[in-house]
Amino acid sequence: MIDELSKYRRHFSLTAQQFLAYRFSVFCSISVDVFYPIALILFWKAVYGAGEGAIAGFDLSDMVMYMIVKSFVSVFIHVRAPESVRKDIVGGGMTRHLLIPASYLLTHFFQNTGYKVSVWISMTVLLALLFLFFLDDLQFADELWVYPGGLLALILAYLLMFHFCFCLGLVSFWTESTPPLIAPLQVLFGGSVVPLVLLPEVLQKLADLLPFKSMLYFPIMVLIGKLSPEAFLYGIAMQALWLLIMLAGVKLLWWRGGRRYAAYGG
Amino acid sequence: MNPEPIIQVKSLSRSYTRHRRASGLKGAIRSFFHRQFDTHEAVKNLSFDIVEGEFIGFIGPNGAGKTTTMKMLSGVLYPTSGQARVLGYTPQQRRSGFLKQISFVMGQKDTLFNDLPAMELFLLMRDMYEVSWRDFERALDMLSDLLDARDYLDVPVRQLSLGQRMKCELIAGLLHMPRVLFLDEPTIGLDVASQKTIRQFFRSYNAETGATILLTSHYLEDIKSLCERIIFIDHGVIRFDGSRRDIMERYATSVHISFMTGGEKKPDTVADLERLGAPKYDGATNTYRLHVKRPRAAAVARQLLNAYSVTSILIEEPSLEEIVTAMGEDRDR
Repeated sequence: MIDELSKYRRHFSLTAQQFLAYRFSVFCSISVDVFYPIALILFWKAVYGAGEGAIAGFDLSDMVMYMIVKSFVSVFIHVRAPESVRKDIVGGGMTRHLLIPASYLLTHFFQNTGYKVSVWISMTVLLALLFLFFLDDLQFADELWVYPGGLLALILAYLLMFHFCFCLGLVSFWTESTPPLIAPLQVLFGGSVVPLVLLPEVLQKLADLLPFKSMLYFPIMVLIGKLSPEAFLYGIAMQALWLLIMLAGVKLLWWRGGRRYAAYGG
Repeated sequence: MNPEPIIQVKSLSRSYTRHRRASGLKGAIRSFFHRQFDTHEAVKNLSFDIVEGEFIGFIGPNGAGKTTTMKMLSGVLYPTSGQARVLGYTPQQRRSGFLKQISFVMGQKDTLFNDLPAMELFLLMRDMYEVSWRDFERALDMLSDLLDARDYLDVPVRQLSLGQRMKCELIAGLLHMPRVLFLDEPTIGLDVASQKTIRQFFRSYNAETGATILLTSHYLEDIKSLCERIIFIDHGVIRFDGSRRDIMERYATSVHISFMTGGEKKPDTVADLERLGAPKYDGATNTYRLHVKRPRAAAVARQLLNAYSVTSILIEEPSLEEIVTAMGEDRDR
């Protein structure tokens, strides 16, 4: 009896193999992910070098940690789904998925994760180098719960991001395009450029009402040891709540959108 | 007693909403602020039954609704109205038990992973359809032998020729031995030898497994050599549904008589043959060709043999291309 999950494991493995077939593009994509945090860290070093002690509770060491961990979390949670789902819907590629006895959502999830794992492995090596490069500026969290807690927050953040992106992709059943929402919203409400505590209070309150904080800012803050155990538990509960909302969104969009699928392109 | 149909289609229709805009920048700007849509009825009120083991050819011009019909029967598209039952299932519900018994092979769309060998896809299909190793190996052996594909199953797909890719697509689509097979233009773009191999393969597969096969093809040779029953669809409506023989009787009302002359007695001009049937002359082969109504064919052949020094004579049925044209003309009348 073949294990029901084996079909998805095969997708996972095949996507990883496809990604690794092109060594040059693997190297380039990882390099780009590393250059960006280096630029941000150098920027913040210049700001703190000008005489600032701590800004909103973040000293230079916190900020460098934030930027390095942020680059790791960003890569960890990055999902290709909106564009690949859109292409499947608009270009007719979904047809082949609909004809085989497998879940489209799970197929995408395992394909995306297969692609991610190859990135994660390479990324870990480069992040280790980044840590070494800025070692003098770093201060790691003392409390040990932060690390398993951070891992849990990371996994939930990835699941949340995946389902959010999948929903955005499914919107193409109606719009035939996917709005480029994620990057700008993460700048404003996810803490991808500056920690949210540095933003005006009104934006921080808005961020509390949106899922982007749970996807990026929350796991970063856990991993750099800036949260109390109570704040951690509250954050995990919020992630779980958003995940449930996204799952309901996927179900609704798939159910309604499937009726609209036109299978253009052959 | 007629066998129970495994495909039942009742009043099946499907329409699409299409975005329309005028060309040029002005049209793009106007469309940005004010979208215009129209509804296109691709398939209208189709009804037919298919029994197990039939090999059906769907023919008709481009945009007639052939592929849309097959996509509804395979569960890819939701019908706008009407209903279809395939193997006892409602296709668009896409139940696992249904999907494991069908396959849809499209000649114009590849499913293979370009950077990996075809064998990787076959292994994925084994997992998808939960085929045991024993059945997988047996099916792979049979299919790769029938298609003569053993030599390149471990070569990255991007390095294969179009014909080799199509054969791999077919193997991937058939490893689970589907009971119903939808084939959409499976020989498109292939050379004559590959088309022949694949046609032979379909014939064998249908005979050996008893699978029901629905085929669309613009190469009417595919239809003519494989399908006993033909459904002609045009503008989303069935114009003809019957046996190949019926179609010939109804629409192949004329035959072609070709003859060559070798001696003194030959037509002075092509116009001399006008009274016998619409004539054409091919100088390269020194062949005269007449288009004659079927009941007159024997009499005309006799007249030709009596009147001229005929060295060879051939009476041919019209091609399916001509028959489809005749069906279109019949519709227009």
